[in-house]
Amino acid sequence: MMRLPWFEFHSPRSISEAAKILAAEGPQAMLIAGGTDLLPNMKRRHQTPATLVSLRQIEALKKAANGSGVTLGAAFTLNEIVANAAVREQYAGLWQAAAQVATVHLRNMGTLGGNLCLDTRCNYYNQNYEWRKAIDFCLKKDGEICWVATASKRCVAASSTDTAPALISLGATARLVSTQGEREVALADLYKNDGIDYLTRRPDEILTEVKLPAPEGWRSSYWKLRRRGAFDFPVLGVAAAVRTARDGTVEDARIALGAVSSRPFLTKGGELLIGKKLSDDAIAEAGAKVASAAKPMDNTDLDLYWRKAVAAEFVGYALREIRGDDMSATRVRIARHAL
Amino acid sequence: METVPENVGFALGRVFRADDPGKLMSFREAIVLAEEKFGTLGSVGSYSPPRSPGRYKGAGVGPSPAYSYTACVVEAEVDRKTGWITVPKVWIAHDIGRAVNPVSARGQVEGSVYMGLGEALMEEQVFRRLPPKLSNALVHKIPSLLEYKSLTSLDMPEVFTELVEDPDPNCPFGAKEVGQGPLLPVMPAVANAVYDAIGVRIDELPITPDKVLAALEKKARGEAPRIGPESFPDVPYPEPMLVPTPWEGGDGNSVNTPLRRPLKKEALA
Repeated sequence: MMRLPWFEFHSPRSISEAAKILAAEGPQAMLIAGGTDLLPNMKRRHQTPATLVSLRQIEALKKAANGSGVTLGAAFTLNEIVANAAVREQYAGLWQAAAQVATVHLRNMGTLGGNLCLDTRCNYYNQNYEWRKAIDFCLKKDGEICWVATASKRCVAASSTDTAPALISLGATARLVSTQGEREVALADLYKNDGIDYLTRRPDEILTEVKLPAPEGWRSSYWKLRRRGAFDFPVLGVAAAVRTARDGTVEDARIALGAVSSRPFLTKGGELLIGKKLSDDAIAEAGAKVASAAKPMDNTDLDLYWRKAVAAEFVGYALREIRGDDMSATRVRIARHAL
Repeated sequence: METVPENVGFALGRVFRADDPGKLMSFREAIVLAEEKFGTLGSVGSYSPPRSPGRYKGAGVGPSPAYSYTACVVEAEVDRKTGWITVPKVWIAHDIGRAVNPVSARGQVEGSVYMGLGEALMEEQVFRRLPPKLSNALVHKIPSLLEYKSLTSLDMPEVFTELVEDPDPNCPFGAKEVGQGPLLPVMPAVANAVYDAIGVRIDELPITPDKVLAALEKKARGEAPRIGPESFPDVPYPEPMLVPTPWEGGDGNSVNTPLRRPLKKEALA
């Protein structure tokens, strides 16, 4: 049986108190919000923090503010994000991403901040301790070899967050707070293309909120690929956001990819759309550009060449939905939800 | 109720005197009274299938006097650009002999559809060989049940179930099996539905979208649109045992006595 290792537990009431505990405990302390990712990982000894600092009692992390755009506290559960009317009406991409994370039960516990900081995943890593020991561990944890790419010096575990690509396409920023002060980073800059050290967040920093820019003129969409539509981690995530003029000419566009790298990232596909209308040709051209940036590895479900090959088609789904095409039948086939 | 067992009637959850239905009690009350008097109510029965006429090695395996049959129709939608397969509806009819408990029997049939679709579309045990300079060992590529996907209730299609009841005289109460028989036609029906939709044959399970797309590419190149094993494995099977069917004049016994051990490869060549 896999049991949790022992740990100290703190449940501060304020962000500053939590930051102080983190600063005092150093890197052996970790933050816990919903725990849906961290606790199973601790049972498999992926992380064995001496101290857990819970964010659940901090009310300041559960505040939403509407101003020019929307600010969402990092401790909102994913189902609270799904139930948020402003998100649903104005940031469809984020809503669709949050609604497709795991299952209802996990979304009731898992938080927005937790999904953004989700540990990277790999077939050779997300296994119990004994199994990993039997293969002499792997580069990401306790070992020296990457079993996916044996010549690789870098861990290639896959980023599996759904909300991050959606938020990147929407131009969101994240606020990080520590005893040293606070800073705001573009969401794409929160990530590094390294399966082990995948966040630019320092261990003493707390991700407190995500700020979305004003939605005027923007429409967005998120498409998630997985073997089983009901629930699974993504093996490809495509997020698109497009701002069009009244005549339908694209003024600005961003297309981000998830699950095909160790980080979610912005592609150059969006730039190809600027100044054009969302015609089938323009969509196909952008799709091909985005697919060329996808670098899936053989470390999760489904064939990696196929995952790369269908990225263009998924970009097409997202852009056609943004254009106003009725994509509901395709959506039900892929996601098993009407969304 | 002061009467003999022959005069007791049961209806609508009540137990009553047949000659005077006004004298009654609830079924539950009757059970409580009976258990107070006799202890736990139960009965023991047994059934032995008729002896198989066969007198050859292996004749004792599967001593069923009758076999169930199932027909299955699968509706499939296949996306030509991605190979994505969707199964919106399944119709399945199972010849069960007699359904002793029709609700459970339907559950078994629908469970078989679930199991069959998982086998047809998702479940896969994949191995991967480590490079020779490491250990050359075969390791699981997807080594946990989290990654061994089966359907959930959300992934299930609409299932239309029909029980075909034709009591079999050799079986207890005329009832045949509904264990995993209805599973068998589901996978070939999915494969045939995919073929019917886009004209490609996937000869191995699971039928995944990458195989469909690869088969479509072969078709576009003018090659045989099939994906799966290219040849039959080279296995030194022993000489087969021949048991003629009744219409071939067979009495259940084998007409030859083959060697028990597989032939050596040299002997075959």
